[in-house]
Amino acid sequence: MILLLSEDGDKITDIVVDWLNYYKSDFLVLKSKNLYNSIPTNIKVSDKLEINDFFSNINIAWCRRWSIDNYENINKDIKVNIISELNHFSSIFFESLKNIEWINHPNFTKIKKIDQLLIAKKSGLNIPDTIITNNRIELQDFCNNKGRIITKPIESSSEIIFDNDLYVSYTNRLDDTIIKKLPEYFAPSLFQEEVNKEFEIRVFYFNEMIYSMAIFSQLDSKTLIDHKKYNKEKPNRKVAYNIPKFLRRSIVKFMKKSNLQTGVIDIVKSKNGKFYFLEVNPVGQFNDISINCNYNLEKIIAEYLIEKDEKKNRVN
Amino acid sequence: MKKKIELTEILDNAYINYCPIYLYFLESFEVTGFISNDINELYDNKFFECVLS
Repeated sequence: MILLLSEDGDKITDIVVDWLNYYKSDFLVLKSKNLYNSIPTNIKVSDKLEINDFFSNINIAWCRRWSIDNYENINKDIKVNIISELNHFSSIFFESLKNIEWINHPNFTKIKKIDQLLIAKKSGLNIPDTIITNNRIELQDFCNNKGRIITKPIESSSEIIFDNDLYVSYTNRLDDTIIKKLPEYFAPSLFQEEVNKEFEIRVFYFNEMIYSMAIFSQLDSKTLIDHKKYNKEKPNRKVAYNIPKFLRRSIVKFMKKSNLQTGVIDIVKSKNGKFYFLEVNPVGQFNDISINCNYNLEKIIAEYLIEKDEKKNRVN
Repeated sequence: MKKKIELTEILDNAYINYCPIYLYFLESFEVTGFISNDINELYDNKFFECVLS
């Protein structure tokens, strides 16, 4: 049986499930809410973790996404306790399934962005010069050395709702005018040299297979710094792109060192011809890569899962 | 219409220094894309579900 871990509303899961249904395969989609309302789950703790028979037929699991459901109308302190307990339980649950083949083991999908940069560098990828600082003098020096710099979260940002409007933070350029306005000390923040980009590349990685798309975001002032500031009137051009072999080798090395079997990687090709790794999102959306480049990635994933499941069934 | 917001509108001034610099650049998120034909944007944007729920 194939196990798919996911969450409500994930479109990619729906499309992969369509393909699994089309091929009449044996699969189970598991969301965190199922663990306390519909699926018997027992873990015996002895010299090792033993999970109940319901899960014994699983041959391969794909962690598309996993999150503990949001509890809207509940005391916030109780909510913190529930989420913490369920997160710990989830981790033990996944550990008890460690002998099956995983496409991203959930315990490895929360790799920190700074760790990603360090691993990328060790894997032979270029990364933009990066600092984390809390003071204006250091920031001013960095800006003077690099020319153009940007700021973004050290880890990730979430949406802010204010006066019934939804606000988000994008990657932003900092210049002297802004830096001079900052206090002498501020909250520790991340700053990076701005890569003078020729174009951006989004890579979908799946078990050493690489599917890439170039995004021509540099020609539009709106999307120049962050292509997610979409221009609806005139969308960025997105086309299939073949990355060079040396970059492919480094990406495979990076993903292996990161214990990831799949993920969406953001890369920038600079005007000086170098490729810069920005980040990997192990649970990132890849519909745009699949649709724009006609890769049919969801079908490829479904077929891979079925092939592995059937192979294991034949061995057993 | 895209709006920008100053942190001081959200926060008491006393808390402003606790905010990392990226938070100084908040912009309203446009949801009009949902009714457009741009399927990529629809799929690519994690904030749609938040807005719709």
